[in-house]
Amino acid sequence: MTALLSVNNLTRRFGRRAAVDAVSFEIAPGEILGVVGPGGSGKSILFDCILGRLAPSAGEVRLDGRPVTGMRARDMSRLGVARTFQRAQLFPQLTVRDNLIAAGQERRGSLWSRLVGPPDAGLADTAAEMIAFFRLDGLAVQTAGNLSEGQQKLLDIAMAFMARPRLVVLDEPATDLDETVREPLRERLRAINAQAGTTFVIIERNLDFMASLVTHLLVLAEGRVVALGDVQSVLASGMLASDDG
Amino acid sequence: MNPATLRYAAAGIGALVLIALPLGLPDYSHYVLSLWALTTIAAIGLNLTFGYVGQISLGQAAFVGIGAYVTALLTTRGWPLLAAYVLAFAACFALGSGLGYPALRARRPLLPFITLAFGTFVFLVFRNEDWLTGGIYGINRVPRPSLFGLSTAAPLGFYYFCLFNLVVVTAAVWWLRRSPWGRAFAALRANPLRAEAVGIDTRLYTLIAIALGAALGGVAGVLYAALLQYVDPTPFSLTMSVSLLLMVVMGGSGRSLGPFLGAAAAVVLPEGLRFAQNYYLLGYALAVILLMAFWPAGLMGLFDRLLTMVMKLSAASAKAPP
Repeated sequence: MTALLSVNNLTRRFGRRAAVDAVSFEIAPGEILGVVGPGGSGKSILFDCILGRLAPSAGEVRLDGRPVTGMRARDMSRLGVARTFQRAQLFPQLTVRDNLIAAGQERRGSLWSRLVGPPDAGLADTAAEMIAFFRLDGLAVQTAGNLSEGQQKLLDIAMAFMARPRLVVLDEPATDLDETVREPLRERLRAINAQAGTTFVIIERNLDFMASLVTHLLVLAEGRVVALGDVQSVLASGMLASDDG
Repeated sequence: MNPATLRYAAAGIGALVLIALPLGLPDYSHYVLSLWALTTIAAIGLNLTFGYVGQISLGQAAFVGIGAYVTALLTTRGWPLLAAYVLAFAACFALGSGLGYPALRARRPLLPFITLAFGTFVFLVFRNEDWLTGGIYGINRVPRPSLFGLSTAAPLGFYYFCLFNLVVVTAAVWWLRRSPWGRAFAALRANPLRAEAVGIDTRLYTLIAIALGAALGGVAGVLYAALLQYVDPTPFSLTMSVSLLLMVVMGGSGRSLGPFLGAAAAVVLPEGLRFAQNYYLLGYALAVILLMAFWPAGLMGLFDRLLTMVMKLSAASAKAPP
């Protein structure tokens, strides 16, 4: 099977220092890859290079074998790549429902049909499902800016799924979340992966959250890959022993 | 009553008031109200550009001017007013996107400077190209249209014609606002990073808002030419652009009703306060400063506050024992 996402020798230098140094990995459809490493190991910069927010100094990113290196975020979104943010990025003045619809509407119909068609772009039901699925019940017409931090984070994650993406890149999904919400969130992500076959790449500092969710692990240190493989073999290798990130 | 029903009811009452308002008033007030209606249309356009997507245009007067000159040139040569609408709308839409495109490619806010230069350029074309525009003498005898056999030559008839235009524009913008386009405008204004991440083409939508804003300026110009039945370059200067921008800000930028209030404060109020003469402008300038200092959300923001206060008071009195 061809890889959904392949990253080849991706390097990003700041001056002489390589924050990301010749990183390569592949993900097949349906896999869940966790990226771990201590603070400053280059996780976030790696993410930014993959998602086109930073131009890599060298190397390339391919989606379905097509080069997408440095592609704009909205073009990546059109190809079925969605992302979540470490600190929730919402449209604070819009309601929860409108945040969700805004996150999915651009993949529905043409520009013209979005003007003359229904105001909800036919996404009201999907938004309602997401609201129930991510435990935001009763908050549909709340303004997103008025939600609690944890609810904002859940909304941020829910938004990534509105366009039925093939690949979702999650930036520290469990951070800022209450213990009581973490477990359900993990369950939800696992369910989406199982039902829709959605592929995930996850950065997470919380190893407990990560270990029981991912199928594969990539360990970064000082910008380099120090371990990569299925989750059992990486955990067995002891490369994570000193890592708490 | 739920808020949506309340809003429709308020809109209906507002429309009835605007229909009944001029009855019994002298012709001159019909002229002032017509001017208010078309100024509101120009301000609604600018509200799209500034209020909805946050871009500052200092060239709205140029678009109003283009609409007015297109109308004068076409209708004095026997073309129907409909042709003027189509051409003014299309020309201003195209020019608006032409100006917006380079402005949005840069990271810095360039649109104010580009539109400022454009406004000056257009003004000079109006004034200096005598062969086309009649130079400082302008173009005379712009006819007023007939609609379904009804003439709008009389001031009252023309006011209703302007009001009809205002209703159509308001309905169109209302539709736009509640469509996915409106949501995209709000989203890109609130958080461009997230908007791009969910696939919203922020540049394209911003450009659409700028172009539509310019096109509504053109529509206002069509009415302006037919109202005065005469066009000359003088009104279409930077002063008009700035004053339209002030109307949007004063009314409450990004609010649907903002342009109505802003235009009323700038066009209708001075007529009521004629006795104040030159002090009116002084007071107006002062009012804008005070409003911006204390209620940056404009008159609509002030209105919201009062409404909340009244609702709190009534809730408190309902709770209080008899």
